[in-house]
Amino acid sequence: MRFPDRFVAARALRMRMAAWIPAMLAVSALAATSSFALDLELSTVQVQGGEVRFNASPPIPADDWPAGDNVQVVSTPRYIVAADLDDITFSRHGFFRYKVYVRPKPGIPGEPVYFPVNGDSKGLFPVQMADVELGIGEGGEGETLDRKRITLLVISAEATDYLIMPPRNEPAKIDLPGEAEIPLSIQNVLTTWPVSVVAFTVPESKIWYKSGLGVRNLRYENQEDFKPFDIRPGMAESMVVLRLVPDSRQAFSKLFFQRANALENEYVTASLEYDTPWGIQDSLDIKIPVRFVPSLPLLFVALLLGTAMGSILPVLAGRRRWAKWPRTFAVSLLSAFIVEVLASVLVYFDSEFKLFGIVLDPSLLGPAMLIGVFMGLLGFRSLDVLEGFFSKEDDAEPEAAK
Amino acid sequence: MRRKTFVAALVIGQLLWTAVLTLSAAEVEPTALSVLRSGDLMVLDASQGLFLLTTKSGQVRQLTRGFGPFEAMDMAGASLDGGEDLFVTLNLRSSKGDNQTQLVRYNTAGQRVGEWSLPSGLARLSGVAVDARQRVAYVVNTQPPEVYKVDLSRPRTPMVRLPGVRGAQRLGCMVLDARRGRLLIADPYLGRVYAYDLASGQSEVLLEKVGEVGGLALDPNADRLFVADAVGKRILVSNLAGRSTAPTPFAPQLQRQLDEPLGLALGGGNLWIADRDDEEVLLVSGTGQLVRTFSLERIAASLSKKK
Repeated sequence: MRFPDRFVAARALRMRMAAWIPAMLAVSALAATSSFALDLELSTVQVQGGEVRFNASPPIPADDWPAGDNVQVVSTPRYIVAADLDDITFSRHGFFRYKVYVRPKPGIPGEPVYFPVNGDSKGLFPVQMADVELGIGEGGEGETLDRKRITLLVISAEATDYLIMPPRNEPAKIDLPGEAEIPLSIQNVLTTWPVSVVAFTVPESKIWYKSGLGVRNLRYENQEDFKPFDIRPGMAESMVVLRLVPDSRQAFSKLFFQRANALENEYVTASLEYDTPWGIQDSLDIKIPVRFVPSLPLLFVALLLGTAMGSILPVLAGRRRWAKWPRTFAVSLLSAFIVEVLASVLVYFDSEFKLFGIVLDPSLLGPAMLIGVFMGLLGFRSLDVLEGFFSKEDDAEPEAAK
Repeated sequence: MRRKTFVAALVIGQLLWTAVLTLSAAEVEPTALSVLRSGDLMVLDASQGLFLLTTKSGQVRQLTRGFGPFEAMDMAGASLDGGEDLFVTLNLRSSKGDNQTQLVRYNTAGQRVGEWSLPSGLARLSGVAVDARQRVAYVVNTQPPEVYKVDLSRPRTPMVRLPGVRGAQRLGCMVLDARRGRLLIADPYLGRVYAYDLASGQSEVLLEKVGEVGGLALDPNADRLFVADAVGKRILVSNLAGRSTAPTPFAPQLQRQLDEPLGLALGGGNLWIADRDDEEVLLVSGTGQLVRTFSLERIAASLSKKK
């Protein structure tokens, strides 16, 4: 069967059109995305300490529209303009990238697009919101741009401290044996955005067996398996804690003697590397004075050992007899304990405790042992005095009875 | 019985080895590329180091384990003494503003064979281009927009400052247009490419509104310049011999596939594209057809044995 020529021609035309229509659509879609001649201008913004210049790249079709608490939206006569302040990134070439979305109002031709906008800062200034004048429209000859102000976040690319910690003069006390939790009053200077602590290092030191950093009420992490966490804006003090486990042998060596008037007997230094939401990384170095404090049982053991040593010396030297030693030791220990308590009270009230002209801190093991030795050495004499005192009383009683 | 035990041990050993490889896997974010004479590809990751991509097998080998505290910015390959070398710009950013910056020469085994530094200060090197015939390299400073000349015959010699690029805001990658004796230097902030005449030190805008230029590649035979727009997620091409150098989209079908195109390299008539965000390297034919995609998402981070 043979079809008339007009049918063949019509079918060929239909087939040709079927092939051309998708191609035309594809070309027109491509043209729509690449030749949509919308222009965006953003004026330079001056802030105290510096300025930020902006430069918009050609627009890109937007598949989505920003939403959230930190989206700034303004309406011009022809367009809706939005900027997502949570979507700011830092380029490796040292400027900030913003995305400014533009949507034509009903009746205005065009599709939603976004402009990659580069913000180049000069000077050092705190992160802040600033009003920026924008112009949007088809920037051909004779065309006028819609003008409006939009609030943007402006950031200095120069070194800025996003986390701060006031210097700590009072040493943090670490009871030995044991471990310590030192609250750190770290403050995030940003008022709206969190700062992520991404790494934590304590320089290698013999004295710290383990160290970790965490947010209170969360699980602490060792330095090896540290997991990043956020410091919220305006975070309350002491929410971040440094957990330290001192090496017992190294720490005990610090408990014996210390130079006069020194409040601390060790420092702990740590570095917190942090990341801002826009990708600027920096670090906060912290240095905290610490003071190792022996526990009361440990102090008593030092006193006891010192007293034993002091009281045993006259016996070993052959000047006293073993028979009297147990009573001597008991009396010496009692007197050493009283002296230790008195000395501690004196030092607590900012007084000085001196032994042979040397200023001693009775809360340390060495001075406690010295007090014990001294009182132990005086032990036999004290016992003699006591015995004499009681024997006189014993002698006096029968006379009185007479 | 013995054979069964042997097979079981073999299987367990294989599983353990796979686990070790998986645990030591690294994700490579390619920022710059260079094609070797063998057709293999050198891949630069700004923080993790240099990688060798064997194009036939698709295997990736780590040649250097990072750059210490430095961050790499750009890489250029060149053949100087019969061998092949890679020149990498490195920066150490200090929070006190006292930056350190270097141009380092590596051989293809990943060994450091030369270095040139700028005095520590505010400099931050970005693009690098090598003129192998003259045995010099050119590097640019991000801001202020300055160009430096480096004598590659004498390592550790000071870099010589050339006139700056007028009108530029921040300089990025660059290529050498040897035929015209000029450098083509990108300004990623302003979205421009400048032509910088090496003889006079004068510069002019060659391309405008090309987005955040992350990579440039020059095809000297066809006199075409390829431009990677990192934020616009597109590749543009400019005909340098034409009456107008205005760029046109190259392989527009890739626009949906690319996420952050940065480094570009030409080899065998094909264009290599480093997509940092997608952790991929794409091979595209000269006509813009996607030939192959190499995923760098998870690769074994095994250091090659140094000879």
